[in-house]
Amino acid sequence: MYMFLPFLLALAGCASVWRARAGLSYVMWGATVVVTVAWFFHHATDPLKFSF
Amino acid sequence: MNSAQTGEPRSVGAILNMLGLSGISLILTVAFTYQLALGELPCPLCLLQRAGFIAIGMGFLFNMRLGERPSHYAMILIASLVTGFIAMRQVSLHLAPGDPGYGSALWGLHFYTWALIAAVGIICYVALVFVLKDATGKGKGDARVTGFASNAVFAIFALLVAANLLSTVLECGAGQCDDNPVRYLLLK
Repeated sequence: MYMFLPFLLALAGCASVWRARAGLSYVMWGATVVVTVAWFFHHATDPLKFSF
Repeated sequence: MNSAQTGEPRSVGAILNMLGLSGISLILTVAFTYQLALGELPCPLCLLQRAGFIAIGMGFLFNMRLGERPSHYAMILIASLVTGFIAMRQVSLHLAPGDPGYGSALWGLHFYTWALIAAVGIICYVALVFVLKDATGKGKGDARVTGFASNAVFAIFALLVAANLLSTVLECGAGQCDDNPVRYLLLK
């Protein structure tokens, strides 16, 4: 699990924006969000003892 | 054609998107300042909140440099929800009475609490942008924003993303970070 991956993907997204590559920028944004959510589920393991 | 080339005044949307991206850069700068000045290393959830803010910033950046589009605003809202959810999870972890929380506090609130407030605030900000754009009704919706101010805001944001990448590599190496990191893994 590479913790730096979301930042690497975001930086690649910024580079794509600089080169006006819209499609690639959107792909990089999507990958950043997907990896962030995936890493979140990987780390969020402690159960929360709340009742509603 | 863009606003700088035509010499037309910037649209309300363009200005508000630049302000939005500047706000995201400010959030990342404050987090970095605490990391470097106080030596407080970000935990995995803290890093993911930073990544969420960067994804929000990318939405503002898309509006600036690729032209304003509803889908870019949707990206900002989705990333805000993700960031807010991650922050809410961390708030929940430290909610119990007597829990000192993680890291230092700013004006009485820990950074994950500020992250939750900021994520909700950004959603409200996007709503305000829609209202103001509708009220002014001027400017080309899909015009790209270039010029010195736009380039400067873009450069600062890109620099902060690169700095976060470098910092995370130094802190975590090529693996996952400790839950309570106290030192940079690659700077032993």
